[in-house]
Amino acid sequence: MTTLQHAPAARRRTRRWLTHLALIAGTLVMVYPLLWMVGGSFKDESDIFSQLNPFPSSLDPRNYIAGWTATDPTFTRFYVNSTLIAVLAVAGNVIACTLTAYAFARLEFRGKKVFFAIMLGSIMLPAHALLIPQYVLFFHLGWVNTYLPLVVPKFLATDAFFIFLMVQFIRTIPRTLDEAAMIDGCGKVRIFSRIILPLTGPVLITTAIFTFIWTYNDFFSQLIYLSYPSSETVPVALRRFVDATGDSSYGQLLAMSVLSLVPTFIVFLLAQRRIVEGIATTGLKG
Amino acid sequence: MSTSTEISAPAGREPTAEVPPPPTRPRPGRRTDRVAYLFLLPWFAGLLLLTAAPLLGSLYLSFTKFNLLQSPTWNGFGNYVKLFTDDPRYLQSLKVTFIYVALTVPLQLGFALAVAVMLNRPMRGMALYRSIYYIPSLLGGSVAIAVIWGQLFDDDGVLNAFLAFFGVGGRSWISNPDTALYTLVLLNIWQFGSPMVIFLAGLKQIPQELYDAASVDGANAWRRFWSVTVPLLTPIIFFNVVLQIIQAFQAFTPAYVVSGGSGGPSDSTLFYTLYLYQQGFTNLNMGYASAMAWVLLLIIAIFTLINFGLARRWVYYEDR
Amino acid sequence: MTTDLSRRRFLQAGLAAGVLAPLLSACNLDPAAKEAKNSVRFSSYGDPTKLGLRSKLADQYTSSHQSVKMVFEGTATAEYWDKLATQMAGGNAPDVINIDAPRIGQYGAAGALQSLQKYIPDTIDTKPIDRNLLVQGQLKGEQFGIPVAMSTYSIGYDVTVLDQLGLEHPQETWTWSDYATLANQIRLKSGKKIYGAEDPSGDTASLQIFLRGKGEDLYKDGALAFTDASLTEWFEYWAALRATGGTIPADIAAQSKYGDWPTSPLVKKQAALAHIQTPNLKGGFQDLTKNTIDITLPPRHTKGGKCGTFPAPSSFLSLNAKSQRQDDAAAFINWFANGADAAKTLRLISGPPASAAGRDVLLKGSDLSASEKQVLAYTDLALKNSSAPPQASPAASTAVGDLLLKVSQDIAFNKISIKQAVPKFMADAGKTLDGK
Repeated sequence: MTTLQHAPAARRRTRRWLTHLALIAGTLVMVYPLLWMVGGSFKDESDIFSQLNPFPSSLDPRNYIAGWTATDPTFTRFYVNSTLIAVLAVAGNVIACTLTAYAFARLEFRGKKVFFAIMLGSIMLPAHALLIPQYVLFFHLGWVNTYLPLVVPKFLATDAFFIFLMVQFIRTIPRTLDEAAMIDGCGKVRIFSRIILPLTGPVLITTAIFTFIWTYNDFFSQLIYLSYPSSETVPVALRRFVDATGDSSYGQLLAMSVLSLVPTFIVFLLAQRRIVEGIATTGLKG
Repeated sequence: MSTSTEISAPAGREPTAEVPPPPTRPRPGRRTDRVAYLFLLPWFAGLLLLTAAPLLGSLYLSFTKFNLLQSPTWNGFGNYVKLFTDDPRYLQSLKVTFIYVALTVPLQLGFALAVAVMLNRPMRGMALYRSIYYIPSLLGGSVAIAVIWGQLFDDDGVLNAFLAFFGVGGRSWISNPDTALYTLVLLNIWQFGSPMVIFLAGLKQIPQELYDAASVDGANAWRRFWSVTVPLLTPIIFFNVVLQIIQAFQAFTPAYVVSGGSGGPSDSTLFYTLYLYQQGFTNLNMGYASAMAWVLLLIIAIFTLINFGLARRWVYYEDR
Repeated sequence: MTTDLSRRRFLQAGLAAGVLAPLLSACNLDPAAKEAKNSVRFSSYGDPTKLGLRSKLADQYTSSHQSVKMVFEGTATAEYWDKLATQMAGGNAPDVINIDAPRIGQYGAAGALQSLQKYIPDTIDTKPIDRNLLVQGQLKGEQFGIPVAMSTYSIGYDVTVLDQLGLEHPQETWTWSDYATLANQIRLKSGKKIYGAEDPSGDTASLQIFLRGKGEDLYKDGALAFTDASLTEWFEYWAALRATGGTIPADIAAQSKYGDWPTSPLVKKQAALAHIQTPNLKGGFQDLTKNTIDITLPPRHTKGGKCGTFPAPSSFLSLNAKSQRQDDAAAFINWFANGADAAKTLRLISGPPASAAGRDVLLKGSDLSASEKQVLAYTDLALKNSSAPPQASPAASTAVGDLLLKVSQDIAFNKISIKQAVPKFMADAGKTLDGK
């Protein structure tokens, strides 16, 4: 609002239209693949790949019905499992990464720089090289075929991406606020809960969104650690629809792929408002 | 802008995010917050219980021959020597990865920042746009991406249909060794949702008063962007640069999905981690793959160190 | 002391988060984990239909055998091998392992699989199983895998396109030069709208058929079993067709991968000839196009010469060398491979059953579908025309396959001449096979 305050009304309106025009053009590029997926999910197997036109001739939901029930148990179970894992992961990451990030951003302690380097270094090794040693570790802990390997690490702040992200955000909060609170008699813990936490709203939401989406989509570790159909997740089940050794059901694959986007899309749609509209930082000045 | 007081000065002088100087000892007169260890408890536990052992395990494996089916046998520096003296495909994967990083990081971040600034305006429908622009990132590495990217860049794909409209004859972009890598760069730019969201969150941290003050001083939108937005966003820009470089070096999914795991045609999309995966899991040379992983760690660490070194010149923290 | 209070509360919250949540998830989130103990684990790969049927079989076995509880683990093919290798490395692989031809050599040679020799013939009856198939699951004379079904290499052709162009269908006695003629005619008669054939020059299975027609083979005793001259002839054959449009150009070839069905030139109607492994005829090709696809024998080098085709096992069942329940696992393998129940349930999902007993069960039933009949008829034909089967693939055969694909692309994209490429491939492949 303020940014446009001084522009004459007509110019403002033109500019607004231009922005919308650009954004709509961008929208087409962003949604074409989704459109194609949705269209394909209503088509015959033999039409999906031979037609460039993404629009189906009818809206027969048979691929959805067949896909949902193609596996034993059905996708209902997989959605429950996936959501459970993702929600636990969100809780873990938000709690553990915030605590860690606050320490790195605001507190002084022995070996801080070394620990920080180790923390960041731990995400520099490609996942495929860590997979085997991790599997051996989790197997010896008796965690294979449970959700523990997917969830416990989040509660122990192993996701350096989010720690570093929060460190950077906490450091945009002026230290004068901490000092004012300290003069009022607050300790470090209270500064954390009364000042830092409320002011890092957007990044907490960001962490929650990303953790949910990335955990939900984290196909490989779910594949490796979960073996029984009843404990399986959505992305793992999805992969079976395309198979090099036998029947492939692309219509069902597309139908289930479209549905698999629904939970993450809803989470994003609901939560992104909080990033943007959430905690107003007005009243804070450097 | 921050009015540092006596108390915060000693702590605030040292940017926390600097990697990694010699082991530090609390300097005389420097505070130690014992409560810090309480905050770090989960992280320490994670490091000791979950992170350290696999890291060290893979370091050990990098000095062995290990086919996953039999016990590893000691191989000294054999894997490392072979990487640089007797493996042209490894060198090719290095080349592919460096080109990819050099192109994708600045382009994706620039695009993400531009869109984030645009979507940060208080206009109607922005919530919907933000969600729509995130859709490509939701698709992630789904099987559908492979099919769709083929649909776009095949010889009979959408791009060529579009070019034909202007009378330009096309070819298959995605399966030509000269252009395949660039279609993957495009794919990554297209999935710009994560840095965009992080930028959006960062933009929200900038106090509106600063913009108001700048407007009163007569700054136009462009000037306000450079004098208010960019400086206050530097910690977030810095974060995105560091992390995107790390992630781009480790890029796996686009090539795996689009090339069906081969890195083809003619190894033109043989990303570093894709080759590592092929060695480790297809050829069952996990010792060799582990050595590749540790060389990559070294490369990424050097880039990250340089980043942190440069950061002193351009990243502005409120807590200084 | 508000600070202390909140610190304590904070500590409690941290503890609750750090300890309770994992504990919670440990409890009962995965009931299947418990039943896995003291049971026989059976892992398999494939699409939902195939995995569903195999899972059903495991259940059937459990209900008809009181003492054994089968636990089924199904994974999509592309990732099955990653998971299996990880489980192997962790010492946690299943007891009965569904495995394919290239890997049986890889895993068997490393001692990860148990020789089944001591179970033959008492526990596992191999007599009803085709000898040619059995041989391909043997390493150094010992049986390491029991074939479950038969897959045969064939050449698929687009009947609709050939009829439209007024071209004759390929005969089962055709030669490589007939193939080239037909491919070129498709190109010309279609007004250069489509190409003649796929480009299989980087495909080891296709090369193997070509070599076997000459009395050579891909591997023998763990080494390459063909000459530089044969490989040169192979690459030159396809280079010539590429030049005339008899086969698809390099970039189209590079975007199609066997097993990635929608990218197949036959499905996309870019070409009218392509090789098809019989179990894929329906799901991989016919279901994806409205045109009619038929299959015939691969070409020979001379009229009346040797046909390179042979019945190959679609996959094997093997025994984990570290299994604690080997006897029970072996009994299950026998039941799966020879049992009438299994044949009735699986039908032709992976191709005709490897066991004659199983095939009889199917043939006696009168409910065969059109595509099932097509596959059975072709398998019959192929069996009559096939020559002695190859040995089990050496450990590094997958890596050699990757090498061939890459070198074929280098040639097709004119990055290297055939003259340079052949000796380079022979040297690189030799090195790979030696494990260097």
